Parts: sequence; structure tokens; C-alpha cells
Amino acid sequence: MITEENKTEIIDGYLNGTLDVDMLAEVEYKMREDADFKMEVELQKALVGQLQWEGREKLRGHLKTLHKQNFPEDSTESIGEDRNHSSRKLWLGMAASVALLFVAGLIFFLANQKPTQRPAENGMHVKVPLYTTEGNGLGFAGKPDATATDSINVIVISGTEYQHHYQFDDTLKLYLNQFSMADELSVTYDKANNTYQLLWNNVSYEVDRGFGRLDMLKKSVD
Amino acid sequence: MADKYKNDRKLIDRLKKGDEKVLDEVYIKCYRQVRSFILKNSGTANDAEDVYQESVIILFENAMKGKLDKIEASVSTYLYKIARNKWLYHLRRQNRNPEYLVDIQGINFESLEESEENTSLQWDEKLHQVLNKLGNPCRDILLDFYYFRQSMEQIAQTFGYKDMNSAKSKKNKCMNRARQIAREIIKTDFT
Repeated sequence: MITEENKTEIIDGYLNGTLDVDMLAEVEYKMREDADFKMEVELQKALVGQLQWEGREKLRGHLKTLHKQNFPEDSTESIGEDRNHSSRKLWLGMAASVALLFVAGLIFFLANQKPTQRPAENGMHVKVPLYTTEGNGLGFAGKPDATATDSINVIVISGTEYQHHYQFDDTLKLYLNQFSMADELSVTYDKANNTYQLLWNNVSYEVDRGFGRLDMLKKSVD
Repeated sequence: MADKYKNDRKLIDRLKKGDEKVLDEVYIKCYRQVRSFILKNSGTANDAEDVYQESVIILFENAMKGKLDKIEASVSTYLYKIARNKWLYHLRRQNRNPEYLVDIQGINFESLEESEENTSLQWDEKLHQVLNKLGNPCRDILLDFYYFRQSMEQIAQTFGYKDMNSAKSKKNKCMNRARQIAREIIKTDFT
């Protein structure tokens, strides 16, 4: 039974969720029937919340003092951080300027390189076998010794100003003046030398992967 | 098999028994690790101090709630993990630039928020007044009980009561008095 003497403890139990079923039912009933009691519960809840906040602040204050006593170098560094803020800003500004110059230079360089001119990309999409070798080169009739373990996406683009060119990053783009589905295509990756070769109708071409540059197809040197 | 974390659990026990030195020891012992992590991840010494103090507070609160009674990691690892999560959360929040928040037109959002916030601040201020008016030792007894989770035995010892029943009776009287002061303040200020 809820009395003046046990009220605080019962409210604590209610707020902590530690009351037994009977007492919980009694508290809930009393809260419904007695507005005054309900207010007592709400006030205690608010006060406990405030005490917890103040306790936390008290602990934080203690930790701050402890920190200053044991890690005085942090206070010095904090001042240094503020002082260094403007020099860091200056450094960042300089770095940004250098980066801007570099980017501008790069744009100028690339703009003067033919490969960055992006040709029309309406092409024929084909999946061709990708062979991996350990540096043994090509076998009989230009076919790789290894078996195809993977495939690679190739887009064959015709009818542009570029003929006999390629671009190779994720996809291999071939700019060819003539190509038919009957043509034989494959790519061989030489693991030992990290090089790629394109085999087109038994003719082998060296292709560089990764830069996306537009380059001319050059026959491999035997 | 040897209990790897026996010493860590002993540490938590000491903390729960009100041994104030333990938290200081842990604080000093584990700080460098957290500081190094934050400095390596675009933070400053100030950030490290703030995040670490928040983390130690969480460690303390969880320990007092009994959440670390069966801890299966070292206290330093636990603390490092809290600090790491807090810092990652902070970094993620920093990426969310509030300047890019776009509110729906036609809603007087700011005035609504301010008025709600003001009421809440006024109420917090009143609660603070209640505790000030309550004075000591009541305020400290309630703080020790409700935040520092001291047992009645510990409170009796700290405040010089003859036993835990006397301490309990005093604590209950203090809370009754606090509620009474709060009621009076509500009556005068909010009606």
C-alpha cells in the first residue's frame, strides 16, 4: 500500500521498472484516479533527471581538473592550435593555389592532347575472352597457351575520325574502320609483366590499360 | 582457463563501491591511446579531451548501472571503443552541413522551435532552483544516490548517519522536500 512514508521509494521503483506486478498495478491505478499523486510521480521523475544532469556536470568538472593536472601539454597545444590556425589557413591557401596551378596545367596539357577528344561512342558491344598467362607469351597460331578464365567488355566503334585506335580502362574501346561479328577477338593478360595484348584476327597488338588514353593500336613486337 | 578480464572486473567492482581513485586511474592510464586515435583522424587535442571525457562518463554510468559486471574485454578496450564510436559519429555529423537544410516554405518553424525551447529551458532552470533551495546535505545525498548510485551504506558512511536505515530515511525526506519545493514553484510561476 502506498503511504506518505514509502511514497518516494515506490515512485523510484516505478521509474526504475523494479516494482512487482501488484504494486505496479496499484501505482498505475492511483495515477489514473489521483491527479495529485500523478503530479508527484512527474515531479520526482523531473527531479531525478535534473540530478542526473547535475551529477554528470559535476563529474565532467572533476575530469577536467584531473586532465589539466595530468596532461598540461594539452592546454599548451590547444593554445598552439588557435595560434596555428591562421598559419594553417595560410598553408592550406598555398597548397590550394599549387593544386589549382597543377590542375590548370593538367587541363592545358590534356586539352592539347588528341586522346582527350572524346569520340562518339555508339558502338558494338562484345564480350571477348580474357586469357591470363604467366609470361609465356602466345602459343601456336597466336593463340595464348592459357585457357580463358574470364571475359572482358569490348566496344567496337566505327565511323569516327579515329581509326585503329583504342582506349582501355574498365572497358576496352576499339576505334576501327572496319569490323564484323565474324572477326576473332581476344585479350591476353601477361601476369608476370602486367601487360595486355589484343588479338584481332590472329594479329597481336599491345594495349596499355588503366589510363583511358586514346592511343593508336600498335602491333606487338615478336 | 585463466580469467583474462578478472582484474578489469575488480576495477569495476571498486568503482561501484565508490572508490573515487579508480576512475582517475583509468582516466590517466587510457587517455594517450584515445588521443593518438583522434589526432590521427583529423582531430585536435581539444577534441580528444572532450571526446575522452564524454567516454569516461559513459563508462562510469554504465558501470554503475551494472552493465559492465560481466565485461568480456579490458576496461581500456571498452573505453577506446566508446571514444572511437563517438569520434566517428562526430565526423559523420560534420559532413552533414546544416547550411544545406531546406525547410518547407510557409511554416514558421523558427518561432515554434524557440518557444518550445524556451519553455524547456525555463523548466530546467526551475528544477535547478529547486535543488539550490533544497541545500546541503540533501542535495549531495540525492546526487550521490541518483547519479553516483551510492548504496545507503556508503551514504551513511559519507554523511555520518548511524546506519543505512537512517540514511534511507534522510534520502526519502530530502526527495519529499524537493517535490514540495517544486510544487510551490510551479504554483507561483506556472499558474
